Amino acid sequence: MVTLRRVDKKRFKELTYPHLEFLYNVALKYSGNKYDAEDLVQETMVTAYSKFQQLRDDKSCRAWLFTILRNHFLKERKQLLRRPYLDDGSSYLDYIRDEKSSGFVDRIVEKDANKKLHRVLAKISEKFKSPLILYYMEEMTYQEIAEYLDIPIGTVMSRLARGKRYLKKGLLQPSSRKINKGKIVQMMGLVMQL
Amino acid sequence: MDCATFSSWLENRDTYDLSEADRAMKHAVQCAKCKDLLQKDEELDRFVAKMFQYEMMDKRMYGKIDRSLGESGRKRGIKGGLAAAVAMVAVVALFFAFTPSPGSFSSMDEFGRYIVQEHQNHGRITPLFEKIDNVEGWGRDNLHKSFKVNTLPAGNLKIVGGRICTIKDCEFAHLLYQDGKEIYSLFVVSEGEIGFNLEPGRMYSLTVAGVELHVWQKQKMVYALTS
Ligand SMILES: [Zn+2]
Ligand SMILES: [Zn+2]
Repeated sequence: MVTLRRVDKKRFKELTYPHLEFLYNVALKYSGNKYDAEDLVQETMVTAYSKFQQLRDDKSCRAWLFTILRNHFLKERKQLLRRPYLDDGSSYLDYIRDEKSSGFVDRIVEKDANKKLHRVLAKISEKFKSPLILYYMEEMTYQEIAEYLDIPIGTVMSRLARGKRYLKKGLLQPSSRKINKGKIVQMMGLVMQL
Repeated sequence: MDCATFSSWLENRDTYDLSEADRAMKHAVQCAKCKDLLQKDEELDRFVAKMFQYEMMDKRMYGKIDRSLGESGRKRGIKGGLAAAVAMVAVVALFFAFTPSPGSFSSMDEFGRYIVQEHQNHGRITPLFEKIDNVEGWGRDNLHKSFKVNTLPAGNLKIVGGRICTIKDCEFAHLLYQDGKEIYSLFVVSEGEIGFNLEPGRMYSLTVAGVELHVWQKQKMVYALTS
């Protein structure tokens, strides 16, 4: 029995460790910081190890690990979701319509683009965030995303479209601190953080 | 197709079929404004994709995961007598394989900063904290050191759980205590690892980033409690 456990562990590591970088980067996009991302990966791996016999097909290991990680994120971090994104109906295209020539993105999306990305992602619900991560980070097709998330391909397409709109608009919008100064806005900022 | 329809197609491209894309492209060929908009949206898309590129994972993660797998394996293994024996050997082996790197912190101030940061990042109940019934037994199994937590310099604290955390390459037992709604972190580390001297028996108090910290040394271990 002991030997069996040992072999299992070796096989578990061989199968799962190649996906750790992937898991970590998904977790990073989910949680927005290194600390929580590391915890999320560690939790995922502990759960995966305890459920290892449930993995039927080695080829689906990556998707299986992803699902466990996503479930952990949904279970624990849901309450941490900050004020969700409110769609005011305006189009992100309005921000770029009058921009001149190429290279405009760097001009609009300030220097610390990575921080801004995390800030915007934090406001987008998981429904839209997961397809975005798989699309942009993993360059998956609609079909592959549908399989990973176990949702119909039509749903993937519409969530992706909405997610992209939220994301692009969030990135292009000037951060509120920059356009508005003064006490009232600072107070609103406080309320938003609650 | 007119310009408004083109914009709407552009924003929702993922939901349209290829025939709509054909019509949009035909419009873009004739309309300079929409062609420009398309190019800029594609530039934006490339920029977004670049932001989603992988970031490096701390290589110590492999070790952390190794250890957390070992722990869950060990818990299960202990049910059988033979497995328990094997686990004991493993613990002893770990004990000897573990070479402490002395002197990770230059001063009490630096130590305090790291401790408080760790408390702020980790100091809440997550599944990574194991439930603990017997602190001493848990410490022996996980930190591979024997330590005792008798009376703590703060109110009515009840142990909630513990995990091993690495701070500046030192292994700490990170224990969570609860008093009502308040969560406290108690860190326990071997004296040889921290790199500066404490007067045994003396209670040090410092405040870092609004968090009060008590630090003391007993036998060969250093304790730090947030409050
Ligand atoms: Zn046009
Ligand atoms: Zn910790």
